[in-house]
Amino acid sequence: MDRRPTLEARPPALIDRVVRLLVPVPCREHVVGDLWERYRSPTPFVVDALRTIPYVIASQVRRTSTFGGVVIQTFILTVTFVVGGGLRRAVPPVAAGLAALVLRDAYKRRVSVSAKQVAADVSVGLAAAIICESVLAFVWPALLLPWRSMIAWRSMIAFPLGFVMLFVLRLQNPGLGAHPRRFVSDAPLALDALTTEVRSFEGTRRRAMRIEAVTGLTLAVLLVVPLLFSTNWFIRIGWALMSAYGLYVAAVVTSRIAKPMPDGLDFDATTVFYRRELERHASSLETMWRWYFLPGTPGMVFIMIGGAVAAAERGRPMWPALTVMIASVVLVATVGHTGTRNTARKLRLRIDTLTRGRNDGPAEP
Amino acid sequence: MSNAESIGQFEHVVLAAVLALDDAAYGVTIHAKVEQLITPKTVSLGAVYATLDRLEDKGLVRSWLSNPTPERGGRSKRHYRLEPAGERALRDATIAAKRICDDLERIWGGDVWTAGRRWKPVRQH
Repeated sequence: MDRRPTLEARPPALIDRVVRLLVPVPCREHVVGDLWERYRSPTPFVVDALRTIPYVIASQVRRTSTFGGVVIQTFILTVTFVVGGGLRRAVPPVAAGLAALVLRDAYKRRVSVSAKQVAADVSVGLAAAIICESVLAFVWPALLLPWRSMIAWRSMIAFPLGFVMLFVLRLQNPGLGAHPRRFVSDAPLALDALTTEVRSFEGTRRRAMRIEAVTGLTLAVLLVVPLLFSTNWFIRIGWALMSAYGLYVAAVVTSRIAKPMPDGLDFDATTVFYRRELERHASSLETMWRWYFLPGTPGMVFIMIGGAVAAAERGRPMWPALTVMIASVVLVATVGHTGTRNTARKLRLRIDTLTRGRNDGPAEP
Repeated sequence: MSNAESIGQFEHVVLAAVLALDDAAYGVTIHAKVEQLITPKTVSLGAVYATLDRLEDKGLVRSWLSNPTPERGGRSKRHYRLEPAGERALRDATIAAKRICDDLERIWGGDVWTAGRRWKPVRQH
């Protein structure tokens, strides 16, 4: 059967425009082209598009989002909005903000790297949360965040802080660990492309390390406040250890910032340099639980014990608070470990690709 | 023992379609070939794209964009080709399927290949 339509057989302009808008940008070219090729009349075209697009979006979301990234963003957004009105009322803005962030990642042509691009991504999440609240005001006011607690001092701190944390997290980890397939499987064929990739890798890594070091220093200073006002010695020791941990992170991370690649290297020398840097980064990620997460645990354990003791002194059961704290620590550690292990695995694939050398096979135009 | 990437049943069909179509393998033709292979079942074009994306991420197929063509509104086709790892995975999955077929043929007899037959399971005591 000849599936080829005549040149006159084309979808109505409005339907075509809507379909084009709905298909994520990275696969728009071939998906819309395939839908055009199958075009017979408007109704089957719409049905075909409606059956195709959800799969395409889901596949793109799978490619551009990681489990760890979604969990950490959910955690930050939940903490941000829970302060404003409790867990139940926080669900709609968290869900809307998260969906907007995930879809924004899926519809983008490239991973956001610059501060401006990351700020735009976070603004989309914030706008979605605000729109969600505006809609709720009309359709389900009982779920709306109460305006009294929204203007309370803790909300005024939590909201900006939450979105600043999202911004920093995304700026530090472009793509949140979701490396594009081409990065993993295609080796650059020319010196210029390879040098650009190495410089981009170095720049991103250096920025991530600096953000980590500044965050460590900031936490070391800020944690002095709870240290001074703590109710018992367990908690004080815990905050002191956490403050010292912030300094430790800043020092260790600073010592791990690599020197930039010298100029004027040829293709093979650049490949060797890049492979060595990727190897160093992968190995650093694989051992992260040991040099990054483990030193933070004594402080957390002291804080947890102190919290339980304080609860017992007030005649409250210590188990609920302790359970929540332990669950949070386990969750953060598991997500962190899974995320870093996956990123290290992708870097190992990248190293294998570079080791194999130049790819054969057809090149994309 | 082979260390090829393990694949699901639908991935197996899609890999077989890409191999069969050779240079003509792109979304529309792969979907048509897959529907032909799994007759009488049908499948949406989107499910084929999602599977191709997954296979590409596993390093079993590679893709590239062709030149734009007028019957597609001036848009390119994304062509697919099997990688060596994809051929290995396809071969392993086919050998496993063949083994299952041989066993079923032994249990059910030659009628195993009759399309549309209502099966009466043979109880083993």
